[in-house]
Amino acid sequence: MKKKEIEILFRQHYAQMTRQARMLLYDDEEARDVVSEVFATLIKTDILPKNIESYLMASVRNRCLNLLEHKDVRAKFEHAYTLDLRQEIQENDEDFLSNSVEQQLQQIMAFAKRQLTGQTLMVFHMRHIDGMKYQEIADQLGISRVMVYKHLAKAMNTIKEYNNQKKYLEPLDKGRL
Amino acid sequence: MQGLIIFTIMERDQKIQLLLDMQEHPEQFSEQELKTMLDDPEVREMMEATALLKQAMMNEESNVNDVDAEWQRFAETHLTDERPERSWLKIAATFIGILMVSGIAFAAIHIIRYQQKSEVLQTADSVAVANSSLSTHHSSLPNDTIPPKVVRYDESTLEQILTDMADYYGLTLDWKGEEAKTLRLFYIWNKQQSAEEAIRSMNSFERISLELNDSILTADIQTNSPKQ
Repeated sequence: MKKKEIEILFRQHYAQMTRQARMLLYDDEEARDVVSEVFATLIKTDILPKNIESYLMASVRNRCLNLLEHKDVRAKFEHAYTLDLRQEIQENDEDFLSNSVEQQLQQIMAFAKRQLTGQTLMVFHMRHIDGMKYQEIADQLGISRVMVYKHLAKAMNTIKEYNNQKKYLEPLDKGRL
Repeated sequence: MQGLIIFTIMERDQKIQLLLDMQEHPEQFSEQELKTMLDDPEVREMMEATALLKQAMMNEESNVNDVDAEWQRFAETHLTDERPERSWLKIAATFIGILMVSGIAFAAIHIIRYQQKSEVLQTADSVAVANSSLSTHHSSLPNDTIPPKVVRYDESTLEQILTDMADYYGLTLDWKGEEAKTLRLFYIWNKQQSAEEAIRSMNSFERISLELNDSILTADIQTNSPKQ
């Protein structure tokens, strides 16, 4: 492909592709590398499928899953990957490509903001997004290590309940349609 | 193994506590212990919840504003050697660079010769100019690979080159001295350049000093006479 054509695709789809990769890998740098690799393969490609968006998103997803598969159990655990991730994504392939996932995540975030205190959200962010250790969080916020545990446990339980409710309601919603 | 049995009868809070410890220090647990944890439905649900909230937070924060910078980064690492037209430009730039260096040498040689043998050179120059199709009309070398927008001057006078440029860019020429007009050079003028770019290129020659102010192009040369 010519540079100009790649540039157009890059500008159109980069943000969406990176978002997807980041959500799977939880790592900004890895996500950007994956998306760059996908575009790098386009340089040598002359023929593209008709639905370029699906093609690009599927390429990102597959590369991310390959990366995840090669991570060991420790890494999966540390980053809170679920072992069923691959299976779930394949089962919900169409959903994953659509904006519905983004909407669901927005709903979860809105729910979390309603149900959790600012400090709980901050502790969760410091631990899981910033990658800080429990003691570092405790020191920075001036709270005990036990309180850090409690905030994290609260966050997990709240989202778990939300998730369970959603799983329970989804078949009803589908039944109504 | 005993640890695994204990794990299955743990209270929920204890499992959470253990899960959090395992998340922070997975290296302190065996692969089997980690797998057992992940096989537990309750732990799996909590892991899913953690993953979901992480995704939700990252989704909220993911905002790729600077696609330009990302594109530049990508283009620099992946596209630098891929464009054939870019390679051609590099070759052309190198070629022009060599010609410019040659031009400096030509100009220097001819200035000295001209000053030393003015009468003889007048005749010789007229022959050279007559031989060169560039003297009356710019040879654009139709059979060459150089695009038609490029004009090649072969040992042409600065007066001739700047007169052409002034006509083309709509500038008025102001000569600071007669000597400048007689300077001879080998030069390639790309008409696609702006007047400023072309003048900057000319100024890269030793001794040539051009200035553009309000459509007036002032031409001068620096003298070689040593200060006493």
